[in-house]
Amino acid sequence: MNRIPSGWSNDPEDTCLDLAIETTLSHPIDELAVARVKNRAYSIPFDRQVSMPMADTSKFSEAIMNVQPSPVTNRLPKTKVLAALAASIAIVVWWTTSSSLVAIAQIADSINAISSVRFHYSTSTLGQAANEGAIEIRDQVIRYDHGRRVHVFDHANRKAVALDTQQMAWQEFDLSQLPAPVINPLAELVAARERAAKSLGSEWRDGRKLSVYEMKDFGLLDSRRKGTITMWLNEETNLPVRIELRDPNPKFKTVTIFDQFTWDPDLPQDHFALSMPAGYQPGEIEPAFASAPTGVQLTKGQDLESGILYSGRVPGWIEVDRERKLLTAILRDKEGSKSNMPTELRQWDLSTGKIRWTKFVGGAVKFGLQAEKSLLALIEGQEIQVRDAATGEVTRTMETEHAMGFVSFDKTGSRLANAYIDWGGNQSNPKGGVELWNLTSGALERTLDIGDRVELAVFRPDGLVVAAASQGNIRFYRTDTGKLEQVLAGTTRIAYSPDGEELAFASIEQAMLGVIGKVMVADAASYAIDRTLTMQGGKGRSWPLGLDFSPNGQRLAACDWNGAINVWSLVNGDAIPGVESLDSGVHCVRFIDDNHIATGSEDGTLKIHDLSK
Amino acid sequence: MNTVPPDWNQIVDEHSTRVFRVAMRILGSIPDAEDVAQEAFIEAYRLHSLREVQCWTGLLVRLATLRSLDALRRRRLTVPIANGDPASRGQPFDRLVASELEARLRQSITTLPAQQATVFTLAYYERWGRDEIAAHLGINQKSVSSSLHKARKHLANLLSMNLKSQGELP
Repeated sequence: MNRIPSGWSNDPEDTCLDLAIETTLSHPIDELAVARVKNRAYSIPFDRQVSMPMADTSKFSEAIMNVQPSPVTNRLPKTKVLAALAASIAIVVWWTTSSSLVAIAQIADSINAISSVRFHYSTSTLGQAANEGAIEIRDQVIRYDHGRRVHVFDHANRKAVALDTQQMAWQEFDLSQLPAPVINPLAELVAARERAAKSLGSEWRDGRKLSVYEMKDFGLLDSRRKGTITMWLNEETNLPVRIELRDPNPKFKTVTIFDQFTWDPDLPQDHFALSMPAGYQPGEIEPAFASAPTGVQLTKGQDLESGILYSGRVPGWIEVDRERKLLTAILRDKEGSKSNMPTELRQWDLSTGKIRWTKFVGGAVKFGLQAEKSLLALIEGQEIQVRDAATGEVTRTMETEHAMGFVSFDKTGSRLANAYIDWGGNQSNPKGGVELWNLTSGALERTLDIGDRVELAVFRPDGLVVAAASQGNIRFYRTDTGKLEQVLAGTTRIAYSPDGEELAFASIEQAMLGVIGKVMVADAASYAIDRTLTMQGGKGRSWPLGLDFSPNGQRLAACDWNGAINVWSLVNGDAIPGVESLDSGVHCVRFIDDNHIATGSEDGTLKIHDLSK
Repeated sequence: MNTVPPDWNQIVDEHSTRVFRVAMRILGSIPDAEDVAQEAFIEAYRLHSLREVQCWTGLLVRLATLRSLDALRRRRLTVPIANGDPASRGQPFDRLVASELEARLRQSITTLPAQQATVFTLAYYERWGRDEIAAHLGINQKSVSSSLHKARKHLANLLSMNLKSQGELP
């Protein structure tokens, strides 16, 4: 077979090479990857292993000889105290060379002598550059400048403000509303009070001699006492020049670097003001800190009305509890947004429209609900979390090798399926599969190595089969043997009816006038397709993204990236009117009861639709 | 000698994109390219401690090229995409062939001598001119032309032989 495309020149040797070169050049360069390369390269002078011998060992052995643990000086501070930061900073150093413990209270003393500080921070999570900006601290007030957004936290008054410098918006909130603690890197060292620090010797940088210390098994942020702090200390001033926090928590694998310290700078007074700056207006900058959802709020005692339950960030996935009273959603930034806010998991009481709780959940994109046992499950980084659906609190964790998957429960709540995408070393051809976890033992029971990237895995209600949906194929495996039972051509969404007798899955059809989204309804046991439903009402290319059966199993809802929201009666196959399509992509749809559905769309609205109107 | 180059951060700022891009073009993998880029910077940094670096651009692109080729040789060769492979379904036919050629070019570059591989990379992946390549690599223009001609001929031969052996070329 001649597989050379038509239209090529008669010199296949040269054209082959040219096409190969052009294809190679066609891949865009990942700017984030370049940023990571830069960050890693910047630290090379600080990496002691880099200055180890390479070719000319005589030169390097000389260099090694020059690296000696530095003695701790006894110079005491001369100026006033920065009480909020340094009062409790006392780091104990374990001198490996002398086997003696020496308290380097000089660091605390030196910081005590400081009234203000400004430094740079950058963080990366799971190897991806996440955030950077400037931090200023004066007394007990910390100012984080992330660029467009600025936060000022006043610990003494338990107050904080957020500023959007582009929208000129200002928002005040209470520190107790924060779902995550404010990070003060110097205060993090407080936790080191009783910990041992190891001297790693000295390094030269920019003409300064720096002492390097390391503290392991250190509880920082959410690292569960497995974190590591490395600190470079200016031997002249006893003040930090660089601090690295490495958090091995599989949720994050975060590396945070604080550097470019300027001690005692002259910082403007208004940088620490909690009052609204001139030219600003009150606004909702951080939805998580708002006391109530925005948009049309459902009032207490009111029946469910069609309306916007929430507007702001994008509801990417929705679940409704067994009693049909609580709605939980994943909220993330809009595509292209530069806000870098962590994803939130938020729950509302549908009878009042009030938020019950909000949790930051890193980069989770979907979550599973076990309605009978009131459990939620999701993956943060490489940590599978089981949470109490009533409180959002984590009740159990398991570590997986596969990050950023989607977790779903079986009907009994005894097993979890983790649909994962394994990018490995080949971004253009990722692999995937499904992990089956036993929740009783916490053990990984089986891994179905599928090959395709798997975006969703759903148990059949009887638990005997798990469906793995990827681009192009939905594969059905026996959970007891791992044997592939059936493959259907479809896309990445599938749902089983409550009684487990029917399954619905999304599909697309290439047609003369474009792509038509389809929803196939099939017998869950025989896989025979009973009916084909066509997505209607959207604008542009169809790509079904959400499917759900009504609690009584008589209706089926589907939503589409082209904005379409369709509901059909499975009794007669008719479309149920009354739900208008949206102008932006609809990511998820979920029945609240047989007459109401909730949708989450890219325009940042979580909307409730009344099907009876 | 001071082990810290005077403007290390500036060197990193100036060359990171190019070093990563060269590695990425050769390796076709972001994580591998990141590792090779870091390797190149470390090696350059160490070399600087032994002797003064006259041309950081030349040194870094040469290191990025050669270390990428080393990484490619270490890496298990990519399995060609076959008919019926799930990853290939739904792709336009031309795109599939182009992907195959790209993968085979990647393998073929590893068979080039170091100078030819570097010149080829800079000429085709970085779009450098003959004079620019000569200046940064410290060789004369004639050598650049010669290396490029040989590299191109060798690679074109390998690609066509590969396709002929699979019945994809007449």
